[in-house]
Amino acid sequence: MVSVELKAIKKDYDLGKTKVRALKGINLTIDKGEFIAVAGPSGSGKSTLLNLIGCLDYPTAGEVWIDGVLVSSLGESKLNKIRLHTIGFIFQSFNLIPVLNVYENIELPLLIRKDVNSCERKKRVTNLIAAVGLAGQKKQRPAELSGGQRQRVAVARALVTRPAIVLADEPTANLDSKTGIEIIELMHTINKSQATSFIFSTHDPKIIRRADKIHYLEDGHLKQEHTL
Amino acid sequence: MKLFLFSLKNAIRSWWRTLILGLFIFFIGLMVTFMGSFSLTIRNQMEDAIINGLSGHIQIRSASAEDDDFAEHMKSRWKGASFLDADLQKRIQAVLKTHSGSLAAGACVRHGALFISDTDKAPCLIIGLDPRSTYYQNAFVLTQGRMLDAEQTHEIVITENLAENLKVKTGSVLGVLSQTSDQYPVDLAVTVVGIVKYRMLSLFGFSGVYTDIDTARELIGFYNNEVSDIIIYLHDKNMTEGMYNTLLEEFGDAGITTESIDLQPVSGQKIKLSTYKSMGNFFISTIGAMIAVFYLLIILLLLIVSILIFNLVYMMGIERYKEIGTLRALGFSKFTAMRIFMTEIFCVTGFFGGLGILLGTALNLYFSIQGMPSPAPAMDFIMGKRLVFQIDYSQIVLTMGLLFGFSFIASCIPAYKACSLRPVETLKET
Ligand SMILES: Nc1ncnc2c1ncn2[C@@H]1O[C@H](COP(=O)(O)OP(=O)(O)OP(=O)(O)O)[C@@H](O)[C@H]1O
Ligand SMILES: [Mg+2]
Repeated sequence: MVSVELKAIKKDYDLGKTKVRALKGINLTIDKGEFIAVAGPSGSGKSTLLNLIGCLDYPTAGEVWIDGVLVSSLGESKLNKIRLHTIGFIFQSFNLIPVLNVYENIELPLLIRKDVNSCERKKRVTNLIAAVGLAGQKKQRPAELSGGQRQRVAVARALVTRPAIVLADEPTANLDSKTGIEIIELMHTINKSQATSFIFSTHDPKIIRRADKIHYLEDGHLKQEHTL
Repeated sequence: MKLFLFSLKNAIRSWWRTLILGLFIFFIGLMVTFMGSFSLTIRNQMEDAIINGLSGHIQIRSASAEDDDFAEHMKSRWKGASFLDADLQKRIQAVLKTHSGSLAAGACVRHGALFISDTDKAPCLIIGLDPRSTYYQNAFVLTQGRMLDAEQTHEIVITENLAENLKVKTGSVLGVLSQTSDQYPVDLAVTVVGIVKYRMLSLFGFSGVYTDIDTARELIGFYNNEVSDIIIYLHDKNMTEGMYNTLLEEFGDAGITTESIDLQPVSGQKIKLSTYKSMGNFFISTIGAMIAVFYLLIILLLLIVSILIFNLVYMMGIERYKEIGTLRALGFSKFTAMRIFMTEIFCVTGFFGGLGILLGTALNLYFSIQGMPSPAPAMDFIMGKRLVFQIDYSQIVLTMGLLFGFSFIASCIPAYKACSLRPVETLKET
């Protein structure tokens, strides 16, 4: 089952006089439940690619299909819905809400989901807190947590809406390598137990090796595809 | 509910900013509430001063009387020669008698005259009335001497202003020069028995001279019991309009032609009815204008606070740049994100504004029971020794609405701006 499909994607950034051509024709298919790394040097277009899949930006040309929907032609409010229902995000610098505790941070996306009642919400959040190993810290604020713990919260928050795809742009860049590997392992375990696709970008060869499949980006082109 | 708590937590986290904004809003809430009651009270006092000292609630004059506002007296000489003759007075009184339960009527003679002391002279309005009337006494703060004695004639009570101008004290004898309605000069000596400050009206330098009705008649040459006007006092100011209309109709039925109803004149004389609102219009509207200026200041203060709110929300937007981006990435719509911001501002407005209004109301309530002491004896003529506040509770709702309105207007633009940034931009890692 295809989960993401990119067709002839181009993305230019307009800088007034000059144009940065960040992606120069990408074709990519990602199946349900895949665990994928997007690798490549700095400036190769990894973030740009993930943003397009994450419905945060529109391509200059080409089509983005997510779960059978052509999202690159949808309006803003439809994209909000897609992000809320189908996509989970994990960020490099965690992006947790400082005033909310662990429980509340994970719960946050569900607060605007009308189809999830409070009982179901509680069940999901509690289960996820246990799954990421933070049962003892659920009342703590992000500032009281270590980097690894914060990223665990972020992983749980990304999963709480039961998305089809989780996107993680350099999720380990702000962590030491041991903790980074732990986070990737956590993601991998969840990926194996659920039908959620994970797409993460990274520079780190040790992290890249954990992926089931690797897409190399170089200067806006998809170089090759490795299956480990 | 949980999103509301989220906003609340944000407000508490940036407590210093919340406090600054809150203090401003608190202050405005307090000011508007307090000054609302204060100005309501002052306005009412002004109306009472005019009613007690000059016009009563309703005034009946000859239709040929030209004065339409007491303030005209300050601009020019009083043209007071028109009168109601004894017969007309009887017919008017017959109509008024049917309402004796709800009104009190008194006769009054008014006339312009020149007052002369040993050193100075000043034109003034003479107001002659029944010295036993308690109404006119309420219009003053007596600073020297006593009020008029019903057994005596040729006594006058004058204002402090006039006493200063003429350089006289109680006991001084003044000469009065005037002209009767048929142009004969009258020269009379009167004794100052009391010096007063007009409540409120002294603000305008208004200087009526009070005397008994017979002395006033003598000065204008009303030898047949004529009066300038009949003044009607009601129990309740709010009944003025109703009684005014009733009387207009009843006078018409009694064959007394009122100016506003075009019936055939029966006695050859028409009468004119007016309320304190038209006779004291200049004074009332001047006080109204002063209050309006005050509210303008409040609005100005609100505008400043709006700019403050605008900046704070703008800063909030910059500070939470990434947070907004995160919310948007998680699937929050622009408007949901905005709502979180504005709820925060509304919480601050509601809490601190409510506190201000609460304190203001408590203060008003206290002053409505205890009275507010006059800050200086010189102010007594405006406020009395103790100003007993009147409270209009509908103002609480209005003030709250005002505060919320302004904070909404001031916060929605920067909140909208912050929330409609493209999430990719706000999420960029540096
Ligand atoms: N908003 C933008 N405006 C202009 N140019 C941009 C913008 N975002 C990215 N670019 C350019 O597009 C190219 C691809 O950037 P992108 O961030 O996708 O690379 P990346 O692979 O994620 O790099 P890194 O590993 O440093 O995060 C770069 O040349 C970058 O300068
Ligand atoms: Mg990047």
